Amino acid sequence: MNMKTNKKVVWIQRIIIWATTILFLFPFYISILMAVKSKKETAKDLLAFPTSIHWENFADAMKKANILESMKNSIILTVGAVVLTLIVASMAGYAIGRQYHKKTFRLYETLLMAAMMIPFQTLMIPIYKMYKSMNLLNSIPGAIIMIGACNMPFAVMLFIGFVRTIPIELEEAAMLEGCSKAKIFFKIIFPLLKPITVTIAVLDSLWTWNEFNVSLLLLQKKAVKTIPIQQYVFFGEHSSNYNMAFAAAVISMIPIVIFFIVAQKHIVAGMTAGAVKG
Amino acid sequence: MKTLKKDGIYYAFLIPSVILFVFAFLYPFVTGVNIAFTDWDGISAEYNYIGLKNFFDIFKDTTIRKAIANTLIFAIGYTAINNVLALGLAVLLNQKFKGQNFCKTVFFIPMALSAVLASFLWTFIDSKIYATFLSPSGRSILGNPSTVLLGIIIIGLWNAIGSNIMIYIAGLTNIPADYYEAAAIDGASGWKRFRYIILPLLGPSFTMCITLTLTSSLREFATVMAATGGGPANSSETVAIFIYKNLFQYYKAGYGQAVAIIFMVLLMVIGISLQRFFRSKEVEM
Amino acid sequence: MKRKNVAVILTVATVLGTMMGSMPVQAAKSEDEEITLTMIDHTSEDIKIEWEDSVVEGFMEEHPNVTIEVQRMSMDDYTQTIATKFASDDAPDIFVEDSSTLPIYIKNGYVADITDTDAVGRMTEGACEALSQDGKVYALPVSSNSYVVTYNKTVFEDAGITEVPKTAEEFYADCDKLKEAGYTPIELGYKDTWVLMGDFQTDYINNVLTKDPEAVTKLQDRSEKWADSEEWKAVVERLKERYSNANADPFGTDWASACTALATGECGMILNGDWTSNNAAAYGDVSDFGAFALPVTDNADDAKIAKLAGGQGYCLNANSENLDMAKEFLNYMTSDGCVENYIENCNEVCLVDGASAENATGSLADVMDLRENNSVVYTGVVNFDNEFSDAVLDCLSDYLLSDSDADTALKALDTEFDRIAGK
Repeated sequence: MNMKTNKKVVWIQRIIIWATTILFLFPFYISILMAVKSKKETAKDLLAFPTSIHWENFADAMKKANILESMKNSIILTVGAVVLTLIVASMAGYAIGRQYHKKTFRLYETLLMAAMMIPFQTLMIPIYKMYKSMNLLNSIPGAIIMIGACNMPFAVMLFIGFVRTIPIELEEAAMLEGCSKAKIFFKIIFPLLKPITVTIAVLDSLWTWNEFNVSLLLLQKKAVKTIPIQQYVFFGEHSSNYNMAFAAAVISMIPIVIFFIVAQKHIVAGMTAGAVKG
Repeated sequence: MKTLKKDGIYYAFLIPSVILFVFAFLYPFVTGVNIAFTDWDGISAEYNYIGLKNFFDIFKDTTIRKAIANTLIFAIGYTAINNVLALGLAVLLNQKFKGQNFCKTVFFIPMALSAVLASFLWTFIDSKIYATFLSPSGRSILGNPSTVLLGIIIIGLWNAIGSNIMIYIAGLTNIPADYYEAAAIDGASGWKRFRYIILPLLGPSFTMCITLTLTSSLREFATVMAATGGGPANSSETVAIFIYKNLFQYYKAGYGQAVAIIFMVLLMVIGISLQRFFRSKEVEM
Repeated sequence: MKRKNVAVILTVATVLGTMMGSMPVQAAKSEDEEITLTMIDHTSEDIKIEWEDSVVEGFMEEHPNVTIEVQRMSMDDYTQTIATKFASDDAPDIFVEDSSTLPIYIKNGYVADITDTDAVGRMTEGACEALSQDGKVYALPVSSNSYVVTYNKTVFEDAGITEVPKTAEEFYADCDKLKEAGYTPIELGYKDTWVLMGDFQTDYINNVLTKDPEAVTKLQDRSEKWADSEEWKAVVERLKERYSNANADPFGTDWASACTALATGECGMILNGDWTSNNAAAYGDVSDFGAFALPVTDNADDAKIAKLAGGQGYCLNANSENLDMAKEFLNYMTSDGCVENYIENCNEVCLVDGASAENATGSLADVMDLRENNSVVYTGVVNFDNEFSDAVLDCLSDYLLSDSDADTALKALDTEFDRIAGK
């Protein structure tokens, strides 16, 4: 009896997950279809297969949106911002997680939460003026600092949650052996935070890759523009070239998809580590 | 002495974060908040202080009420659907089956698209495929004031559910295997296991996912702006879009900032309350 | 000991270096000093971008000591960015504004008066009216648009329409013929809100403003009410009549889709600015389209278009260090070579005096013909101001999407306008 219902349940679960997966894939199918058709073909019949693959959409899109340069900028920006956030947030998350009984630390967590609620428009002009006076406008390092800072509160809160699930006994044992707190953090705690670190790295990478507000504000010159800002070139005031826009979108997704697939392996590793931990 | 030295390291660990906090949030906020008390138009070199007039005007403003209603309906609906789906999918994806990684990747990849592109893609599907083939009235979801918020929820879900799925999966894998085994030995069925063992231990994930999904959907701007611009007839205008219009289209920056500040305070109250609530439910292992 | 010496030397060197850097350099103030001009705009159509780039390159060739840095972005991003830059004292030398946003920049003293430049001198009479204040010109338009009905010639032929309609009766009869032949008479792309305004304008500019140039201003300062005006009521009602002759999902169809429908022969007409055929040409061929004036009465002589002044133009930053050079740039833009280039490639009416599009085909030819023979000059206010404009769009959208009648819509408009003006 148990075996039969078990199998049925499993079957239903498999159907649900695969059906949902296909639903999620559908828009991508459309994107790729549009990316390889010509403008006139699309106008004639939307869903039909193209007569030939129009690779020129990709070439034209790359040229028009200056994709290679903006991709380079996006990559540097993303890597820089994510590394900055991870270092700063893991340290702060650890401190707050371990000192959660103290008011000061809880207050700081509340401040960070509040900071995330500030609408960007409120901060726009002060940030612009500040960057102008420091001569950091149109510089990628400058943008890295701002974006890293913006992603920091969310990361801190995730780290706090997960630090609290690591038993304090581990640290006490290490302290008895004479390890300094700093060493404990880097050698023991941080490695145990791998699942959440990888999660944050992946999420922040995605958000930074598509980050718009700060990039529009601080990176206006052509040489430093990132991919999201460049995508506008396909959406004209009065007309749009959808095929090239999709081609550009497909191209800009490639680095991040690769990153994802690679990161997956580490998420799997993290899972096994967590399962064995108890 | 020993305690001080021991705890000093914790304060030291906070320093980089505090520096970034002051730089990116505190200083700009403090220098920019005064605008809410002026009649600034957004571009002029001067402005006049008008005290709390902007704030009083908010209460008299009839147009903001629709925006508030839209925002609430959207945010609550989106948060509920998103979290239920994300958790469900996380549980399903956490099991071992052939093609597991492929499925996972499929749910995460939409996050790689910016809100603008995701909106663009779905409005395309909506007006060319749904409206032409599936819609009973011939109208698209986004072109109809009574269904437009649902349409935006769908776009947002596709674009962002991967993030919550990811956090829930991290939370699930963080539960040591012996908890599962112990429960199975005690004869607990799948659902009971879920309700009494897994849910409580997912505390940290809930704290993050629910609090942040709600507060970020309340602030929703990019997806709505790209998908409908707030239309048709303001039926999808959110508070964030309302603020934007006042700041940059109506040249009423002072008023827009006042709305932004009140909005921010409300968000903080909601966010902090939720976060405190869920933090207290987190089980320390 | 060694370390201390090095420190001293470094300090001295730094101090000297700073001093040298801040000493006034005896540069010869020659005409060849390097000048950089910054230009920001939101031009997005390929042909216009190419033209702009060629003007910039040509100017830099003639003036080797000048570099012009051009930044382009989408319209939405532009509005936000330009405001931020002016507010932060980081304004560009050259930018663009349209007739509804220009006043606030003029009021703050940000825009230079360009009345006395050669460029303005070369424009046709009345071209700069909409971008002027108190007789002074503040922005230089390159082209101006009229509001017409753009139609697909093949579709009209196929539906048995041999002549463009000249009276309202003929217009609706043609709509019926199109419906019978299986075409959508009018394609509406109201998902992009400006399209609804453009449709509305095709009617009111040509039929209300030409009779009363102050109509928009009067509504905005509340010296006239919507509900009291028979003309406005008629315009509003006609909007709904056309709505019932349109595609099934107007608010879910965007401009690009509407243009596609026109180009691929799914529909017969679109009412909007004369750029419609340019946009639709991306999916078809320019000469497939024609244009005519929207007839609203039963008198064929009434169907005219308004010949408008330029609605958008290039402005110069009044506080720019290089204002003279920026003015030179505008002069260059209106020089013969650039103008010829524009006419050849941009397929729009050019406002520089003497520019003529002899080889115009398709709807541009029709528009030029209308401007010559069937138009009324109009240089007054065309657009509603931002908040008013939004209110118009909201009320009209509500009106179209519901069963309400024109009187309700006009009342709603008055309530909104009162509220906005009352602030």
